[in-house]
Amino acid sequence: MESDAHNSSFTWNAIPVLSLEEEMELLEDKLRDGPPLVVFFAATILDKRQTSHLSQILSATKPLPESLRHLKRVRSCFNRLDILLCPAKDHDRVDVVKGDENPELSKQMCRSNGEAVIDSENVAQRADLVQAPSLAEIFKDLADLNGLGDPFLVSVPSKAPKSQKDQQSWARYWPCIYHSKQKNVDTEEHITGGIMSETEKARIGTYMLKAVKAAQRSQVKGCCGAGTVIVDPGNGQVLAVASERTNETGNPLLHACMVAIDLVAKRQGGGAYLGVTGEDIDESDVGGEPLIGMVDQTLSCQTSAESVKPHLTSKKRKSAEESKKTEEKASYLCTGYDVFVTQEPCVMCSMALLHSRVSRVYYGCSRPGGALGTSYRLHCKNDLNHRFVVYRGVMEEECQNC
Amino acid sequence: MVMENIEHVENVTEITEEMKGWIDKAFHKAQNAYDNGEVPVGCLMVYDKQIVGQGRNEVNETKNATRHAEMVAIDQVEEWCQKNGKESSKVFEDTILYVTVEPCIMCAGALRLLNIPLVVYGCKNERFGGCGSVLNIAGDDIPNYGSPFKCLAGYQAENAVEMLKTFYKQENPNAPRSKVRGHESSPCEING
Repeated sequence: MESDAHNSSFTWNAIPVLSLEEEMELLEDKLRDGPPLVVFFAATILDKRQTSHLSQILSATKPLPESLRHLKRVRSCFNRLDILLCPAKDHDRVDVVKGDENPELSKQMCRSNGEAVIDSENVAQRADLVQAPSLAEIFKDLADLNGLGDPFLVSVPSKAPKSQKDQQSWARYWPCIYHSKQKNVDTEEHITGGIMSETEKARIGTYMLKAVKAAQRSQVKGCCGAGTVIVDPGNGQVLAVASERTNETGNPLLHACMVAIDLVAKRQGGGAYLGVTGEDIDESDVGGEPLIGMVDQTLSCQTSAESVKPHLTSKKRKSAEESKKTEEKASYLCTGYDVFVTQEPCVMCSMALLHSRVSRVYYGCSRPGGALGTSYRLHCKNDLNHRFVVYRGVMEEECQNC
Repeated sequence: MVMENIEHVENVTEITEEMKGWIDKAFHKAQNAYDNGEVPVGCLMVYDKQIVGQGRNEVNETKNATRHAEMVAIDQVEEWCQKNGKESSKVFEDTILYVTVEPCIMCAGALRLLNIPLVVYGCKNERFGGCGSVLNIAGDDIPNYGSPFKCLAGYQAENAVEMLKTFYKQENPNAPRSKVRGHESSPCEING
């Protein structure tokens, strides 16, 4: 994160377009202010030399339920080791089951956890509320558990943390394992949103400005359509700049995304639209002269873009020749590419981008019938064979006005 | 033709003998795709009892994943209209699409934008189908997005599936392995 002064250079925010499930989860997380919890029995390991032995026995006889595999079996707490025994819910003791299902009790337990942080050690040992059973009651058939202290109740996160931040803050309940997801998708940033760095915003803004310009040029030709830019994020190279060509050609399907996808195909030695050309890619244009009628934030966005430019260009120069050689061979459709569109793509274009296996789509404004958030969310549909990340709201005002 | 395997018998009763003839012709295009190493899907666009456009998958050939049979045929119809001095928007409104496999979500979107009234297809497209299999782009209420269209499905379905299966046994050499699903299902990519 950079300074506040920098922060003000963008009036827009790139908002991740999530699946319905992710959105609901996010909402729940926000309302809950902490992890969802489930009650477990745990016991202190009295003889630490027994730790691995006990872990083995417990893993074999009381494996963690499938949905709770994110929990570490043993936690270290004030130089003391505690081990998870089994979920309290599954136990047949009536008072415990009641306790777990009693919202008042759960609330109290959560609160005590939340407030007292580590001091409470997350031990629900209020004898007046819940009585934990003895070891013998939990392990009717296991004699070899000498190394354990008396069981107590503990509230543990019932879901896996989605970010390192969650993992850290949830550790006060019980330590969890955190798996980061696919490399090309910054899940943490994508899910939580709003923490996109200024540098990243500048990069996005630079490319989106090209899309805005392309859209404006198409208007001169009588189109009211969108502009699309396709970029290889690996080397920052702009691969296609296209605008809608429906009016000009009389073909109602020549939306900007369809044209851009074909331009990439042409670079790879393919292509289908013979007479249809793209807009000038004009590499030097990055951060170039301001647009007529453009508002201040675009200018400042370009200024911030300068800070990333040397880095990008040096990288670009180095790989330009290589990439030209390998482009035809190595690239498959638009795999791994970023797409910048002024307007939310329609059903046809969204599915075309999916077929082309793009990795990220950034768009300016939503529109009725749009298929990346408004009418459908094709990019995160589970039963389709490819998924990609989508952000909306990028330079929204400029995109709306073009 | 094995009639027992047809999914929507009530639809099949509506498919006329003339329609069957067109579908049979579409299979020649699908075979042509197969022979050229493309996903075997073929189609015809018929206006006023004549073929005004035909196509087969050209994805590998053009390195453009949007070059499905339907998209290729649509471009031919545009050309036909130019040559014959017809207004393409009017022609599309009276054109029937015959295609061996259910149009995908993208093609269904394109067909809506063109106001195509009727699509006759062979087998379902479980992976990408936009006429009910994955989404119902054909029938949904989508603002500012052309008009919904009617579908008649099932004629020659088994034949269409068989072609796809045979094709995928030899795998699409250009496609990388799917990250999302692996290769557990076949046919895995019906670019139709």
